[in-house]
Amino acid sequence: MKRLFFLLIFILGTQPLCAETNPQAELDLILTGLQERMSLVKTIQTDFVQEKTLSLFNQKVHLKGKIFIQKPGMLAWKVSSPMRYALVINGTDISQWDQDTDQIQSVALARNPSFQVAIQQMQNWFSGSYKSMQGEYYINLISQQPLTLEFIPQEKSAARNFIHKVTVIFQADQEYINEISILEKNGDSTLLKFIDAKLNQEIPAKAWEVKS
Amino acid sequence: MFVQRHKKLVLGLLALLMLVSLFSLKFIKYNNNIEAMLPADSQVQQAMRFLRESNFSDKLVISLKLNEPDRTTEELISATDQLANAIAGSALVNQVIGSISSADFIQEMIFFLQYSPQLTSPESLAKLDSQLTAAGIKERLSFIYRQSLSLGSAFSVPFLQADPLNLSSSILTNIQKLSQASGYNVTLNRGHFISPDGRSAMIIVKTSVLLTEGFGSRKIVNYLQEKLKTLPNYINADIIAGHMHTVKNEDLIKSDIRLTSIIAALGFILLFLFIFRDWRAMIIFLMPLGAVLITTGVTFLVFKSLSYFVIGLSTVIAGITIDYGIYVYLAVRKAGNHPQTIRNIRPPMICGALTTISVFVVFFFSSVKGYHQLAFFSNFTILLCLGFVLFILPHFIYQETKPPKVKLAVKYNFKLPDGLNLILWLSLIIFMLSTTAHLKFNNDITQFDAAGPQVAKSEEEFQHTWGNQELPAIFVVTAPTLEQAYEINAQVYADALLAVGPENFRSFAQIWPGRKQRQANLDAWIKFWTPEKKRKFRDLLAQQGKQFDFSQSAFSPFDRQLDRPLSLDQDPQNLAFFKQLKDQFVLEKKEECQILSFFPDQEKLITQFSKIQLNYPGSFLVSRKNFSRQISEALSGEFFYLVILALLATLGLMAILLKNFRLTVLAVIPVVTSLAFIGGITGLTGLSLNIPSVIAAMVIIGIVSDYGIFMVYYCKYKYQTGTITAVTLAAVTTLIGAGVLLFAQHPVLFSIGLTLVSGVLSGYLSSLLVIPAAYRLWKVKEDVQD
Repeated sequence: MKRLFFLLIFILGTQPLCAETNPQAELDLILTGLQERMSLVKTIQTDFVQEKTLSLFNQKVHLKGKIFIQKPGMLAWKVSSPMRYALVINGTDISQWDQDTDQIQSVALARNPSFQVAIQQMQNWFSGSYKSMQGEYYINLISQQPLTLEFIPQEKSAARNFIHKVTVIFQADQEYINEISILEKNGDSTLLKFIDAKLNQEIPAKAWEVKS
Repeated sequence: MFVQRHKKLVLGLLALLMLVSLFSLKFIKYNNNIEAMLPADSQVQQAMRFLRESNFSDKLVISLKLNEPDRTTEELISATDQLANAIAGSALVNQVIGSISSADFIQEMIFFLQYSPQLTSPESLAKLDSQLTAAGIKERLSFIYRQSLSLGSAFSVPFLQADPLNLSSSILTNIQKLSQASGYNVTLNRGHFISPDGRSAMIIVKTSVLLTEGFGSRKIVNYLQEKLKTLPNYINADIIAGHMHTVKNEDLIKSDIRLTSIIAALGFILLFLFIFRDWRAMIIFLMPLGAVLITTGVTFLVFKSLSYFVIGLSTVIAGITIDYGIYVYLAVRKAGNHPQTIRNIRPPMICGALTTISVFVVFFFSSVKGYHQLAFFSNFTILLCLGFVLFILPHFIYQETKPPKVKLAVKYNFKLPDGLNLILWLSLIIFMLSTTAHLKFNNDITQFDAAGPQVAKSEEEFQHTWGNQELPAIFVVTAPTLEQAYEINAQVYADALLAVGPENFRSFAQIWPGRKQRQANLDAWIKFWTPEKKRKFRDLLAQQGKQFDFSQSAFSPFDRQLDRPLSLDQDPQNLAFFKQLKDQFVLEKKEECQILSFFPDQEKLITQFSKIQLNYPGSFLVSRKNFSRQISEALSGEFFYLVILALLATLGLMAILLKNFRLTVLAVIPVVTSLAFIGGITGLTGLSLNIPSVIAAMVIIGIVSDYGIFMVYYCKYKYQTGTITAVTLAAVTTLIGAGVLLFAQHPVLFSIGLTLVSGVLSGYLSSLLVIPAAYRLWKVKEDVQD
């Protein structure tokens, strides 16, 4: 009986240990799964709403618009409200247009390193290649349902001077991102929500026209 | 008499001396520093010293390239990082620059904007004034509003807050221009140096090894090549550096010296074994070899290092000095080792040796230090060999008693009449001289660079990948202190702007002028931002910012700067981008400071900057084209003077030693013939003259004048000492020594070989065919009496 008692205690005592898996291994598994799923995604088109809290402004700023992504290297960011503004990256060049000036400004991405850093960061978040970002960010698994990942820039990261942390929350089916929250070093923050994301659907050519 | 009595002792001592010299070769330091071969012209030396001491000479660039089309830039960057980390762990490597952080750059630029008041010119302020209107401010705020809502605004907003009026625009443009001043087309991708097509990456390795250090260069190149082996298969890598040239040139010269020495040794051995067929004849071969060995050690002791070019010429010197042994050997074998035999042969031999020595002595008058070593080496070898053959050799050879198996005699039985012989010779000389009319002199020192096709291919590919542009010329400003150098540099920049415009000159003054200029800018800034103007600006910001909902503190970083601009006291500290640019443009040395500016290496611009340079003592230009011109100017004058001196020395010595005008004139025939043929053959083969070929031509004067002297002695005294055979064998041995250089791959040695072969061959033939004919035709009273 005494032996049975100890056996029970042993089994019960070790139960949590058996159930508990290595968090890093679990994270790797999740990131690998995400990477594999996202590698199958060639195009993304989604509506978005963005809420910005910037020290630059008195009030929060709300933006609406569309995002188009086509791998590799194509991205269009089109804001429809509160003003019309478009930014299109066509491989190596970046073009901007706004309704106020009605002028298109184009520049080679390579010639503008600071812009390049910012754009590359955003492309990384949108395209979901998070496993490759492990060298730049400490990645933490915040929750499994919905899948929520937190990214904190490492000391050698290009983003460390500006970004405090980035939180990415996925859709319930983990098909695509539901929202991205960016908290900056100076306290500014951005919340970007994706609405009605369509994956692997052909993107109309018009989407790549900066003035449309 | 001493040698006669103690033959074994003398032989033993000589053998010991040669063994010691042979052993000492292991400890001799060789150098292939081109600097030693350049004239002491102040501008040339200044340019060379600058290149040696500047930060170009301690850098190696590694160019990595993806060789599989489906590999991505990401993979290239990852491999670049791994390689950079692997390279860093060596005492040979001071720094590895594979990437710079773009985010740091943004942060640093925000900090650098604090210097705007010192760096904004009064002209820019005038332009700014026109923007300080409601419409102007609204336009800027509208732009900032859009940018702050754009993608990646986290990176751009801090910058816009610090510079709402876009004062940094010209500063940023200038920084970008300066970073491209080296002439290469580099883009930054994730902070890495990436080619515009995204297929190549660049790593810069700073080393403690200067490219002029042969041994160190080999170590660093080997080290890097080992590390390159760890790269994945889909990446090719090339090392681009002066160090590669040093290593490859050294390899080639070593291999050439090895090859030519073996061929020459074989040639000499075969010559003596099959022509002389006497084991004692080997002594003739061993004497110059021993003399060269001993001289090598002595020259090293005197000069502390040995030039590869001088060592490369040692076979030629051996070929010259072997002649003396041949003259003595043949004379003794034919007439016996009586004192009279030696007495008969001594005058022409000493006369010949002295004329050769006089030519080399002329090199001591050159401003080129490398030629001093050549002169010392040659003359020491000649004197040593002369001593051997006059005082030692006769005691080891005897008169031939049996009839030789092979008759060692050269006869020439041309039936041409003497007059026709001379006419033919004159015609040939005129023809050869006529072909020299279009002879070119090539001073480009790069023609002597024999780094090989692999290095050339790598460099060509590098140029293609990173911008196929010509390397820029450099305007160097020198001053005792950095602050003074900044001031002069700013003045030079102002002059350059007026002379050639802003697009053709990249100066550090564009982002960091002298203190005076910065003080003037700051004064103008303070004067511009009157309290009224500040109030007006703040009011405008508040008014126009309302429609965009900008907060009151939106632009506080700039606002603070309006009231408290930074002091002028020192250069910006802890800014990596500023340090990198400063490293590229400013050379701080113990005794002076130099600031570099870059401009296209074009003749027209060099002329214009040469004029500007005259206004700034201590400043100078460094350009490949200008460098060639400077060397050309320095050398052309010097070589003209040296050639004349060599000719005068030879002629003077001949006249003094021969004591006869007719003999002197006749002895000069081979000299004239050789010089005409060297010029003619060089012209006919489409080659151009260069410094080594001119040196070789001067050596030829010394060599062929010996043939002339021996032949005129023979014509006059008819001593039966085998003169014609001796001159022929002397020419053959010299031709072996010089001819092997035609097998050399290094352009310098080949050039010398071609000159020597054409000069010796023509000089020899003319001494044999023309001198006797001319001697017979030129009748004088004593001949009639004879």
